[in-house]
Amino acid sequence: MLQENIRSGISFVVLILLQFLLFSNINLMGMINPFVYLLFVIRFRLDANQSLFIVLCFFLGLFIDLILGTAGAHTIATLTIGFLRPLIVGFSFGVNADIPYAMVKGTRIANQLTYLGLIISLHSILYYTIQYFDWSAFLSIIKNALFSTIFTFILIWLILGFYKPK
Amino acid sequence: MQQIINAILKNRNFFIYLLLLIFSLLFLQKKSPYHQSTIRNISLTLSGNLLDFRNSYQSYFQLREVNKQLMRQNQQLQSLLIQGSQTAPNDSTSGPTKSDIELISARIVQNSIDGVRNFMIVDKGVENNVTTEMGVISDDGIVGVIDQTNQRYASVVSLLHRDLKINAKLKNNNAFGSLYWMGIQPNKMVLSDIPTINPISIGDTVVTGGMSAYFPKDLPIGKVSKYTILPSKRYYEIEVILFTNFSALDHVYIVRNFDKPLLDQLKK
Repeated sequence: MLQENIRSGISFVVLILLQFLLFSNINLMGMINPFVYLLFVIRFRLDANQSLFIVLCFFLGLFIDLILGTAGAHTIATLTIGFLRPLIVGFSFGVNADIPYAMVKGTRIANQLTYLGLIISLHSILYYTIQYFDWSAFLSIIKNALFSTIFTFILIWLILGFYKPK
Repeated sequence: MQQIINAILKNRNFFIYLLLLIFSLLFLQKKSPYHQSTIRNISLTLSGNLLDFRNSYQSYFQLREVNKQLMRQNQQLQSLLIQGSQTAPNDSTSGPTKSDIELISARIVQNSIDGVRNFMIVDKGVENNVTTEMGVISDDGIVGVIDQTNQRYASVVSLLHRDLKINAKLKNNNAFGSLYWMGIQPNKMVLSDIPTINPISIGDTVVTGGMSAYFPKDLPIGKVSKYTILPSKRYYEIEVILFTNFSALDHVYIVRNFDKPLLDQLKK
């Protein structure tokens, strides 16, 4: 249990470091960056205290925002994804699934892909909506969200492949 | 109370989320001027609409004050108007001159328009410096002449009185004559003694002549509605429709002419 929490804490810090040191400087097509810190949201225990999880997501987004200088968009997007995660898990894995983690070996690939895709795409759409904050920029929002979803998805899938199966 | 707390605890995730969302929105606003101005715009629209809605109710309760204010303003403006019209450059000798007119505002307490000789009562009397033979006007035109006063009230001979004749003239050519009421309709009077050498057309304005000290000159009275030439072919008989609506009179002004005692002396 304690080892679990230490691991979560370390991954929290490491992901933030990786994000601002490495992944936000890629700037594919001029502005698309992968949001690798979402790994924290994806891999966090499903049966832990949901309130704690929401607060942790808030701080994750807040630190990314403070470091990268984007005024609050990461915070709002990550916070909302943290709040909605139980719903997304219920949608992807079935309401009665009783899994401790979302990406364990036992679950089907289709469910895992749905889960990943939903989290990343919702986060991207929210993020770009807040960034633009203008209904007339709807097409730009959709375009950016699409490309960053694809890019983040590929990267996260690759990184997940490095974890030993549980 | 316990139920409220229970409800909050049951949905505590939602409330935590809302709270943190508000924090992050504030943070967003603070850091980014663009977002700040957009959010301010939204809040301006919202508060504008809501306050407008509230004002439409509140303003109803302030109507009495607004009314009093408007009456005061009207009195001032009317005085200015009268004073302005008195100092036309080409006649400085006829009628009351600039600083000699004072308007006292009053309200009609009693009115009648259906008799043949109609009177009104206004709520200003001797203690407000009202004396007999002062003219009474309204915002639209002239109303009558004061004939009796007591301490707090005054009785006004209405224009709709068969025995009252007013000195009036046509506005555009200064031809003056005598205006009186036929006793038939409460908004029509007859202007007589205008010689036919003066051109006249329907719609001409009739104003006070200024030959009597009751009213300063050039106050509007009414409009020409039709005219006929008398059999002697020397004078018109003109029907004038009054501007004042006697059936709806409420606020009037009593004209105090400071020169009147001097003029009266000369008449004697």
